[in-house]
Amino acid sequence: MAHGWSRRKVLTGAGIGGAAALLAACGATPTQAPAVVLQPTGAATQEPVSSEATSAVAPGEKAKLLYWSYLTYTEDSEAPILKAFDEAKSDIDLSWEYVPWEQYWQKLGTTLAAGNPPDVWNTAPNLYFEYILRRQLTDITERVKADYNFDNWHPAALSGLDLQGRYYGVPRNMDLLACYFNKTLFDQAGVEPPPLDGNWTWDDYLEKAAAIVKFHNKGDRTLTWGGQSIQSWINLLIEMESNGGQWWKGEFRRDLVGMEFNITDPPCCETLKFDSDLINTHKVAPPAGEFTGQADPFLTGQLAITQSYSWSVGAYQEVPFEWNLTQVPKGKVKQTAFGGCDGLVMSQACEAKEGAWSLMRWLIDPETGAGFLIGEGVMPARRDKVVMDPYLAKYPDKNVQALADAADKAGNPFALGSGEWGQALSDEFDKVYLGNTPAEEGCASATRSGNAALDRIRKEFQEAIGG
Amino acid sequence: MSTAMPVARSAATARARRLRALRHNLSCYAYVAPLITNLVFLSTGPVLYSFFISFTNWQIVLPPVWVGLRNYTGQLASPEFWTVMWNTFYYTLGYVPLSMIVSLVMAIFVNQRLPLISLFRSLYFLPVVSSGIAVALVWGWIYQPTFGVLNWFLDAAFSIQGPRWLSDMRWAMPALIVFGVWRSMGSNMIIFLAGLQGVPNELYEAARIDGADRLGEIRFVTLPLLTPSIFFVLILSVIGSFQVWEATYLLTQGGPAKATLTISYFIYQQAFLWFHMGIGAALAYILFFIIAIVTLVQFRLQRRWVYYR
Repeated sequence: MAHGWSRRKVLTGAGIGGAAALLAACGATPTQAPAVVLQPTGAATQEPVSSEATSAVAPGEKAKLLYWSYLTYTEDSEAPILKAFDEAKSDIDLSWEYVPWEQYWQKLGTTLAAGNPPDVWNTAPNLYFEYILRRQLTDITERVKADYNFDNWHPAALSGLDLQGRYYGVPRNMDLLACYFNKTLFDQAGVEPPPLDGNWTWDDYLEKAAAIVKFHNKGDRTLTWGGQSIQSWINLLIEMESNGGQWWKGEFRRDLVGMEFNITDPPCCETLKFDSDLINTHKVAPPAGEFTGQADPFLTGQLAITQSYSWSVGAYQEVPFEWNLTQVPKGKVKQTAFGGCDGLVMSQACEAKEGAWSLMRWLIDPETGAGFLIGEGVMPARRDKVVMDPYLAKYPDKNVQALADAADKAGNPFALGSGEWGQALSDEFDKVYLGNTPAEEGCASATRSGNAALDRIRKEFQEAIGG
Repeated sequence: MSTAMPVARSAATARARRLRALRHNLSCYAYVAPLITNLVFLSTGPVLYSFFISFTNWQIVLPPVWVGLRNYTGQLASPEFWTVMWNTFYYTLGYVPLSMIVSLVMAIFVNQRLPLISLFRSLYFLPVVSSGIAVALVWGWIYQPTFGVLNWFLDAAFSIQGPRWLSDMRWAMPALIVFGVWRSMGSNMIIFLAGLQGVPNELYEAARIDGADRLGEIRFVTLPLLTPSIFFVLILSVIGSFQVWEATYLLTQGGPAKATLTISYFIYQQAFLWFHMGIGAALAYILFFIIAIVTLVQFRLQRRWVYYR
């Protein structure tokens, strides 16, 4: 052994040096974006972003843009649009990546934490507000107002991206809940199918489902289910609203300021009871897990009415029976269902904001982005004729007008921390759906758990943003 | 007569020796440098950093904010945490004994000189090396309440209408325990098999001479001499069961209604789904301390029942 070079000293030195280097690297503060100031009333404001007016791209250099999307099945129709943009814009060097949904949000979070996120990315409604309020998205309100007529978009598309009057994304395609029904089963049973004009109630839904449901001759299992219960907290909260239930106290705010759950409101409990009774009392809807490991029961003819989203219009094209769709039934007060939108957002870290905005416009404008909007059969977020007419014409024998009608009245309960408080609600609602707890008790415990989650989320969030 | 020259030669030789030793040591360190770099930057470094993170409110995309012990005290005071810990202990108390008994019995069976015994050993080991997603898919089908083979068997053989398994709050955890036992029985079996093959035949002969039957051989020869292997499997099984994640993630996602929400999945939810990295890190260290204490207790108690030859 060399003098002064003992193994212990070398390893200790390497360990300390390496850990110090790692801590120094990891402790580096990422670039701070302007604060989103939360106020009890009025609009959230954002301090002026000086980088909006300047560009980090040197004159004569091409701006590099990176675009991400989780809609991997749209790559064939969207990639040519992106390529056309890249070729048309000589001052921009565009690259793009399609990341499967299951990995998308974690990869995105990693790149945001590392300070090198994509410049423009496709966002879903469930995490949109998380990234706005954590200062990761650029406020593009003035750009959107300057370049677009808001009347050209479905109200539900805009409200889903609106944070107290500010926009951090542009809507591209809608995710709307609708009722799809197996017309062949209805014809075979001699039951009138759901009306295409959407003029039906939840009692009508129950009546039709009960008339269709078919049991095995031993009575020990169901061969054909009549309908489906909502079960998802996202759709259930909107259904509560349709029955006049106010599941929150105070003003509904995406940043949760001043909000509290109020799911003990009687119409909310009645909605949960009705929905769980479809499974436990009337036995027309399958319980949770009934179709685990199987294909969509609607596709296999085991479910007469399913509640699914607007993208199912394309997915159901090859089914071997006649089907159609209509709006979700009317509640006691109004007709509404879940409607969110996928949109395009611009990262706060983007150094070529003008180029990023031109990419976003390219993707959503019908002149350049039609190949995606119409080609994939996704429900466009725009309602102007130039976009909607080709979409409606793509499925001439299907009642996709129902989706367009629903888009005018849809609602979206996503907000800050909705993954966490949604899980808290869901855990209590599940006990009702499983028949373990009465609906009133489920609503009360959901209110308690949800409010505990809200308090936690608000406190942690305010502390994290330095509020 | 001068003594300077021998002294100088001696010093030069010593210096040369030191240089040779230095070159030798440096070349050795160069060979282990990649491993040490990996340990520091990919293992030790992140572990140290996660310990720091556990004292902060870090929402991944925002800078960490120091909160001291709040993440720890907050979780220990949270009813949800205790629900999660109860579920984890429930899994451990079900999984460990069942897994050890099943794998020990299988090891005894495959510790025989029979034709095709190697094939059977490989088959029993197959669940260990199979893809998690694939086995979860298959077990999802097995547990399917209406068309699954398990409920079909219960109905056909015993006229019992099986529960909804993964959708039933009472049966979801037992279902995960059975899945976990099936998944790991091969690896425990291999360890027991190695232990069994280390038991000297003379002891069995001596036992037979003394009148022991097959069960007697197992009780008085096999088990005592297998106690080191049993202890090893016990330690690994307890640690593994506390960290159960695959079954929860693939089959139930913590449901229904938190019935299968174990601590590893809870850590995943907090850290990667809900932007609470600090809480996730604190939970990981709480889990670490619990495992450390349980392991320490096991090591203390092993003196009473583990026999080393």
